Amino acid sequence: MWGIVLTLAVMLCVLEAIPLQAGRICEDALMRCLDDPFNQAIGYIGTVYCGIGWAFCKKYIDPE
Amino acid sequence: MKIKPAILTALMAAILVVSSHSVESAAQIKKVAIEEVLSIGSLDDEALFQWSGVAADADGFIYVLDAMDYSLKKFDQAGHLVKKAGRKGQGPGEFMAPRLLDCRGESLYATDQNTTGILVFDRELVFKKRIPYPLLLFNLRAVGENCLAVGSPVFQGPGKVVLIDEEGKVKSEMVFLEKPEGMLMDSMSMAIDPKGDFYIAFLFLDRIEKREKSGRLVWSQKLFGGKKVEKKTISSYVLPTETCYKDVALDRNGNVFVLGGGLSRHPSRDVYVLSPAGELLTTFMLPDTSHCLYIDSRNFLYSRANDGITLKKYRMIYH
Repeated sequence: MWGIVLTLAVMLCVLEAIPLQAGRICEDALMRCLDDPFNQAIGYIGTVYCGIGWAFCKKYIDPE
Repeated sequence: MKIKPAILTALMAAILVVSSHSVESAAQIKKVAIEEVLSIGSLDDEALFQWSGVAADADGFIYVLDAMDYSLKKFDQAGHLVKKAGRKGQGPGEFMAPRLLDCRGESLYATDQNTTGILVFDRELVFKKRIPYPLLLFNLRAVGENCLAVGSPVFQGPGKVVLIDEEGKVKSEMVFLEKPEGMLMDSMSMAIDPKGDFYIAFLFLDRIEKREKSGRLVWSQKLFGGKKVEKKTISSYVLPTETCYKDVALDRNGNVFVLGGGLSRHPSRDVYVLSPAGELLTTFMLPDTSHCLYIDSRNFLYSRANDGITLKKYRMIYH
């Protein structure tokens, strides 16, 4: 009995977490882009490059 | 006074033609239904992996940029793959992240998210040249002869569309946002009518606009009551996190079709239909979420399904 309850609870937690993880796709990509040493080295151009990636991600990929 | 029968017949025919034309152009859409006529790509085949841009020519061939396959693909009217070009790279005709596509006459124009300039192919997908442009592009439309309209989000200064020729030389600019309203807030999609007027749907602002090529505002529409999108600070940058409008396209009567983003009741599925004068006529829903709306010269609508594995083509039925 407790096994079934525990399994259901774990399943619910996993299902709940899916939209949160999916919603972070663009944010994670942006963080990686901004933290990239090459993009940091080129300064403003690197920021623009990452910013356009963010806009494309929000339009093309992000599950609203 | 006697009127000759031939003249009378000609007069009546002229009246009929004029009146039927005015009825067609004046008729306002009350409802739009869509009927699927073609589906390209599925989970069971390798036609498309994640398409990003689409365009169709006057002969009904469909051209698709496939971001996950780093390629440009040509499909016939039945949806069969005719040809494929491109591969991963930064050489001539190669892609790193293909995004936008448009078609005019014998030429196809494609952009890459990570590289500047515009790649030009012919309709047989033979790479012809790269048009130089110094900025990464977020918008591309082929307009009139020897003219491309391009746009890039800016971080400082006004938001503008730049009109360039086939050599990349700037012909003119159209400013649509005088004052910057924050980082990336000038991100938008655009459509251009045969007169050269611009229809702009903002990604992060509740605003759809029609502007003359001079930049003069003709009308502005807010479908979400002017709601401001949420913003978040990420690595010291304040960025918009919600989307308003994802794409805009014109049908052959000049009606404006706008794909709603996150603020819509059905995000990335609701399509708002506005009259050429900016009045909201009706709304309909796509069967699946899309990032893009494309309407070809025969008034067929194209959108995405299965997260980009599938391209859908619909006949639009107006009531």
